[in-house]
Order: sequence, then structure tokens, then C-alpha cells
Amino acid sequence: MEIKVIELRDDLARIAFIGEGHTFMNALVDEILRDPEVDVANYSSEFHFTDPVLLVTTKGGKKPVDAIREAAVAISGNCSGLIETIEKS
Amino acid sequence: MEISFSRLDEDIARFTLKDATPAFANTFRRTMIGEVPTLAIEDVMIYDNNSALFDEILSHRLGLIPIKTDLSEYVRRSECSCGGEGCSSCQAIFTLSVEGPCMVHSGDLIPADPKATTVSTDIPVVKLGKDQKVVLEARAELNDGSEHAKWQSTLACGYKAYPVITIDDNCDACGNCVEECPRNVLKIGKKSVEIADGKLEDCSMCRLCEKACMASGIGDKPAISVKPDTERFIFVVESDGSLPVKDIMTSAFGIIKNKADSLVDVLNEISGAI
Repeated sequence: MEIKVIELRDDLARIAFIGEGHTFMNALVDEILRDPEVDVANYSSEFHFTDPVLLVTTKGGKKPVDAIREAAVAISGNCSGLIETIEKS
Repeated sequence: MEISFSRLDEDIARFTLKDATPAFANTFRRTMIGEVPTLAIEDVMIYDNNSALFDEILSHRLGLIPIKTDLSEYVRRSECSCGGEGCSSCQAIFTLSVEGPCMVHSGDLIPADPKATTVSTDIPVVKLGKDQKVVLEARAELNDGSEHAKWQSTLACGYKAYPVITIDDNCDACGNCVEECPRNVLKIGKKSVEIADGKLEDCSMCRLCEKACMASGIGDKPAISVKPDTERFIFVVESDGSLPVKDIMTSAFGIIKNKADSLVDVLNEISGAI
């Protein structure tokens, strides 16, 4: 996955996801928002054909990149569990 | 998260996804429709075509024919070691040579790879009259539904929230809701209305039962209430035959997982650089 960091501060990250659409971004934002230390998490594309930009702000000293990484790890874990269930059935 | 199947055939699956969020359920649906790759005819070399259809229409019709796909054998042309020139690992070649009068069917496409055949042999392509002839070579390649619908591996693919029907103690079993329900989800029990056996998942949450209950003059609040469970989803996935439903589901989860894993890798690199 290719990303472009537009802005990075202690409590804010603005990252463009090259070539991604709503399919992955919506699930990622939803998972990031489950973290109580995350203040804002949303994404927007300026036009239908432009890359989505993810904005994450945190409170309580948590690094926004860590929040995104933890969300991605959670999504990956969920998928692994479901793949195992499907293969067993 | 959990998956429990109520039906799992080669071409159709019905299952419940539990402990999931609406966002995850939608991502799974969108991935199955748009990102699971299949084979479809992309390039057609027409040597002879004096049928009633133009070359372009004929090629378009050939492109829409579903082809059985072995995802372990083929890679996308853009990712192939041949550099996109076309080889046996990124292309499946078919030949077609038919002379009229007859109907040309999908079964007339002769595959070079015996595994990559058309799903059905009965799909009509073009009707040929006397002395009409079609001779062509078609090349199928791997791609996904977000590029063109011909690469979509699913037909019906959707979900609905699991219905939760609660019946209060003040239900007088008048039966109005039972009559009103278009899907026969309810039945009259001994003291109150009950959910018919195995019918709960059929509920479309139209809430006609609530309206019928209110119309019976029960008071300010209906005795029956229907609500969606936002953590449980009933999925129906139908395959066009190019891939078994089980493979569509596992590859969809695999695609989401790969994206998440590669995001973790990229973020680890960034964290190391800061």
C-alpha cells in the first residue's frame, strides 16, 4: 500500500492513501474510532477520482500513527479469524 | 467476529456475520463484488465475421461470458513476469470457428487451457444465417469488478441487519400483526403472538406488524417492536460460477487482510524514520 504523509504532528496525522477507495477507508476509519484516545478520524476525497485523505487527531498523548496501526492490526486479525472459520466449514 | 452458515453450496451461500460493525460488513460486501479477480475475455482477434453483429458487439458479448477461474494458476497481466506482453500464466486463450446456419453458443469457444472453460455451454452469442461465418481468437485475462462488471465474480451479493422482534406482555394475541405480515414471520401462540419456527431471518423489518398493532387500539406504544441488530448481518452471496462462493469469500477477506498488513508495514517504516 502506498501512502503519502501530508501533515504529521504529535496529536494529528493527515495521510493520503494512493489508489484506495471507500471499500477499505470506511472500515479503517470505523476501526480507528473504536479507540477511546482518538478524537477525530475521518477521510475525504476532493473528487471522485482523487485519493482519499485520512485525518486522525488524538487526545491524551497517543500518537495518531499508532492509532492507525492498531486499527489495521485489528482488521487483519478479524480477517484471519474469519478465513479460518470459512476454511473449516 | 464469527461466521455461521445456514447454507453453503458451490454457487450460493447464506450466512450470518456476528459481532461485526456495519462498516466492516459493507467493506466485505464491496470487496466481494469489486475486488475479487476472475477471468473474462478482454482481447478478440477476429479473422472472419460476416454475421449480423458488428465486431465490437460480438467482442462485447464474448467478454460477458463467465469463465471458470483457478486463481492459483493465473496472475494479472500487469503483475505478470512477462511484463504484460501476454503468456500462459496471465492469459487464457480460446478459439471459435463456426459456420452457419446455426446459433453460436459459449460452448463453441474452445479453450487452450482445459481448466479455464466457460461456466455454461448454452449462452447464445450470435445467430448465423446461411453462408455466414465467425472465426476468431479470444484472450481472457484476470481483473476485477471495479475495472468492468464482466470481471465481477458475484451475482446477488448483499446483507441486511439481523431482525430483533420483541413482543411485550401486553400483547392480547388479537392476530392483526400475523395477518399483516407479508412474510408470515409471526403466528398466534397461547397467550400472545409468537415468532414462527425458523422464520425470524425472513423478516424484512417493514414494521407493518407495529402499525397493525397500533391500529388495533392498544395504546401509545405497540406491543410488538422490530429493530435491527447492528452487530449481526445476514449475507446472501451468489457466484456467477467462475469461482466457488467459498473461494470468493476467502479471497475477499484475504484482500482486506493484505491491505491492512501492508498498511502496518508502511506505518512501521514511517515510525522508524521519524
